[in-house]
Amino acid sequence: MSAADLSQFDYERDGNQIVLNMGPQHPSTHGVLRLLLTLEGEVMKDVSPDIGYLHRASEWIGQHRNYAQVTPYMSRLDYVAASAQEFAYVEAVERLAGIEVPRRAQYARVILAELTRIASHLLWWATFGNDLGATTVFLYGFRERERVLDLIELMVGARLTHHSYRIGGVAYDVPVGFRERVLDFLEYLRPKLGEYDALLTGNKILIERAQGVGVLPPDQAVAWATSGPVVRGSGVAMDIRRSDPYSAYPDFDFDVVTHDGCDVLSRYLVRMGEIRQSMRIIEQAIKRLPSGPFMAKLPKVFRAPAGDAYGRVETPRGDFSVYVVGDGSGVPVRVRLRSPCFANLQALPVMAHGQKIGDLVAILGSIDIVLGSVDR
Amino acid sequence: MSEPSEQNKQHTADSETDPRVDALRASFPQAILDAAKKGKQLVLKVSGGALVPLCRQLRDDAAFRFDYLADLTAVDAADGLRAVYRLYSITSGDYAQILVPLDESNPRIASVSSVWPGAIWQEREAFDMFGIVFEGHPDLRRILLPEDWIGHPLRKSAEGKEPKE
Repeated sequence: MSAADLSQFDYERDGNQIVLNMGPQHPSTHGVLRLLLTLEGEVMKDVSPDIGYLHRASEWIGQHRNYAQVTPYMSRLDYVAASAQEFAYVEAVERLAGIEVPRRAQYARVILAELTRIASHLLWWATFGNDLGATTVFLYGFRERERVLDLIELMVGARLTHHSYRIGGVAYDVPVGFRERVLDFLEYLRPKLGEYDALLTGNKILIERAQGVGVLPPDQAVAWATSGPVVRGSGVAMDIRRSDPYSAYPDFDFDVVTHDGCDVLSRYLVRMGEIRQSMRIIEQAIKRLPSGPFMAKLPKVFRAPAGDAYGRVETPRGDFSVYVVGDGSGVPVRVRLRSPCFANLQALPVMAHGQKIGDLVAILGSIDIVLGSVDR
Repeated sequence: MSEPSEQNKQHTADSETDPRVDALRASFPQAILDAAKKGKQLVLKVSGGALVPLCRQLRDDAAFRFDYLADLTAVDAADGLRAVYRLYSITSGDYAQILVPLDESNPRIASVSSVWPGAIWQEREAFDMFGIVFEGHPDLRRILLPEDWIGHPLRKSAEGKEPKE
């Protein structure tokens, strides 16, 4: 066979650069994400994410259902941290309508949001380990996450799509015996985190693969509007729970975890630190849980006034904001969903530029995207 | 929006107390149609012409330092189509909202991606959903919907359709 005959099998080529397609079906893209990689040898010259495979028109649905009916759709955006999105939506509607939420409901919301954060970070730790080839980590992470899901199930009756936040409060009161169960769980998790550190955090292989990889300088992290552990892993102390506190967060002591390595390792360390901070918040909240009603008195037919309001919440992945515009009727004019995963993924080309292709999965893993939230 | 008389009253009272807004009005006398303070949030109603220099000043001016583009979207309501920007200052924790009324039949506005690169995808999404053309955008094409989708589904007039075979 002559060389000319082979040309039909040739890949897209430009000088020494080749364009390689990764996804949308790839085990390490955590869903349906397609990446177009421009490679020069092993070095990535450009990474171009192609998204939208999981688009479910959530914003369109938002303006065709009444206010209460929109809430369950929020769980289905970032399905591994369901309550965090519901939190932002009910905050926005309550600010628009000027609803005072009872203290007990606010504490219950914080407890659920922080349990969700622990579950989400454990899942991230498990899959991140798996991405790097550490299968034990995958099993350990899921084992502890199961305990958190048991607690959430006890609290709201569901494990993944919680739908327990309601406009004006929460659907169910904190169950009998929940305090003891939560305190038991915190006692159980504390030594496990030490085990995790011994197993993976100090591991030379992890450090070799994560340190100095996927660098995102602080000015770039802010310019690309990244948030959550990505921006805090670049040393910027932006945590909405602290900078623009909502719900009951001003009542609790916790530290905003930052690391200034700007690399994969820093993002890893931020998340491991945040699990411990979430445990602190839960412990304070469950011990000081106020008594009283868990739902505000609202009219049977809910109508929000004309105007607009934002609900901005620190989810496990960062700044999730809901912008609600009302016109006095029972159906929102606009429900805008600002997703942290969408913004963080946009910064992937900055982190991946000039890195080796073998590091791409580690860099992508360190952003912690959920495609349900990227595509909405 | 429904009670313009009351809002305007509030606006004049607030802009007198905020010297930063007066300075901004002096720099952009034509562009700023309205300015108000709503809690921690500065609300500016702006005409599209001087959007990019205004945004650059809001980012760089030491009195504002809105270095973080928290959100960029559009709203198509009974009172017209408008682009909505939400800025956040990591230094001071303040917010600003910029509202830009747009022409419904031919919505065009300058891209702010040169000020905040994070706007690139958000403007693509607003183009995808509302058909707003962002002039000077480096790569304006659909982002969430398929490339051959017809129409812009979040417009009032929209009849979103999948392309026919």
